[in-house]
This record gives sequence, structure tokens and C-alpha cells, in this order.
Amino acid sequence: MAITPEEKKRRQAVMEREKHVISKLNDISDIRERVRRDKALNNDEVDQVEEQPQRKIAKPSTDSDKSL
Amino acid sequence: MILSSDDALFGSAKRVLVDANIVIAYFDQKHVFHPKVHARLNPIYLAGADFFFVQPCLLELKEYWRRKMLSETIELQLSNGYRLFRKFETAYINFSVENRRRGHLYLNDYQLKKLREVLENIAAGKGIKYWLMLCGHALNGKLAQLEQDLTASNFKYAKFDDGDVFPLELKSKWPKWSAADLLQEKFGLASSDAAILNMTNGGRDVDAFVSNDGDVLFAVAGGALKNTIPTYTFLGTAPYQF
Repeated sequence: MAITPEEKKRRQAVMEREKHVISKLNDISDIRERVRRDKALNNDEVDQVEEQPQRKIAKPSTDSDKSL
Repeated sequence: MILSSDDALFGSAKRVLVDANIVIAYFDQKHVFHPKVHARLNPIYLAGADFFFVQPCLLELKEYWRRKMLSETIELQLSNGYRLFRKFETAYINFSVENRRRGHLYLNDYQLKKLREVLENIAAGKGIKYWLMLCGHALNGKLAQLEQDLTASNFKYAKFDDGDVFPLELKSKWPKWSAADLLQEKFGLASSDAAILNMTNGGRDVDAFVSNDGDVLFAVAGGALKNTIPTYTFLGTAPYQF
């Protein structure tokens, strides 16, 4: 498949740019910084927090209920 | 026809439709196939081939990236020595051990749901507050950025009416949902996989398809793609011959 030298150059430039894009996309230093800044939220109260009871699901009424 | 990605014929492809898992491996530097996919696709691109992806690929990539970012953020919190809610931390560690044993990099959708449910049961809304904070840290701006980067890459977004893969003048030949439904019903495929195969069949002048998805390859081996479109895979071809 023949492509022009200009097209080849354009494609090389796309790939070069893409290397930086992929590297930036995988870089999580911004997340690291957000996590670091919010240390206070994580989680001084852990031991004091109690679990709340499981949410209750209403049971369907029984025949005896209906008789009421 | 399913061929190895090393096959010489792949090098002469001009218009290649890529499956979601190939785009994922291309973008995630931690993915086990990342080096191999680049080593094979880049020279083909430089030789003049065009790579296309369709909308379900974008959705699958975003779904993968959501799981990747949330997993990596929890990992960061733990490696920073933060104290997380005990039940949440225990559940996360158990899932991580299980995933490592299976060779999976990130939490799956089921595991994320379970972790969120653990937090929902922590009193006074503190668990929910933590989950929302985690989402903010992990995902804020990431998915929009991902889409922007993907569309600016050497993969072209093959949208309907894009004038290239699905040109308006060929609207009568655009893929129909009913054809995707048939693929799904015959092979038990996920909706997005069936849509990707169907769009590959209906795309103008697509002369190659590449996938690393066992379900998709199974369907291709069973005749889900037109025989004018050879399928290439990095997985090896032996298990997929009917």
C-alpha cells in the first residue's frame, strides 16, 4: 500500500503525539494529589462509626393480616 | 476466518475495525497486551491503514477506565496508609487477592457494586460520603478526557453519517439492530459485542477486524462476520475453530 511521504510524515506525527497522550492518560499524579489533600476525610472516625442496621424490606401481608 | 495478528495478511489491511479490548490494550499501559498491540498496529498504521472503532467500543473503554481508576485510587489510599472503613477495606483486599490470582488487574463491576453496598450500610451517611469522595478523586474529568484522547488518536470514530464508514448515501445498508439481535440470540453474545460485529459487517470497505475477546471470536468462528473480513487476534487461533 503506497502512501505519500507527506502522509507518512503526518502519521508519524500522530503517533508521536499519541505517545504523550497515552502516557498522560495513564498518569495518576492528579489523583495522588487529590487523595493526599483529602487525608482528613480518610477516616479518623472509622472506629467510632457504627454500622446502621440492614435496610428492612417490607414483607407482603399474609392471609391473617388480611383478616384484620 | 480467524488468523493470528502475526499473519502477514494483516499487514496489507487498509480499513480495520477494532474491537473494544484492542482499544483498551492500546491505551492502558498496564495491560498485558499493551506492548504487543502497539508493536503490531503501529507499523500497519504507518504503512497507510486506517483503524476504526464504533460507539459500543467507546462505551466499553469508558467502563474499563471507570474500574481502572476506582481500583487504582483505592490502592493509592491504602498505600498511603489511610484508614478506610474496616469492612470496606477487608472486602477490597479479598477482591484484590482473588483478582491477582486470576490475573485480573482491576475490580470488576460486581465487586464495585459489593464495595458500594458495604459503604451504604455505614451509619450516618458516612459510607456514602466516602464513596462519593472516592468517585470524585478517581473519575473527575477522566472519562471526558479519555473520549477526547481516543478521538484524537490514530483510531477514527466510525459514527453513523460520518461520511466514511457509514456514509449517508448508503443509509439503506447501515447495520440494523435486528441483525445484531440475531447474532446475540444465536451465540449468546453481549449486546455490545453483537453490535460491534454487526457494525463491522455493515461498514463500508472494512477489510479486517481485530479482537481479543473469546466470545466475539467464538461467534466469528461460527460465521458471524462476512467472509470478506478476516479477523485477527493476539490470543492464538486454535480454540476458536468450529
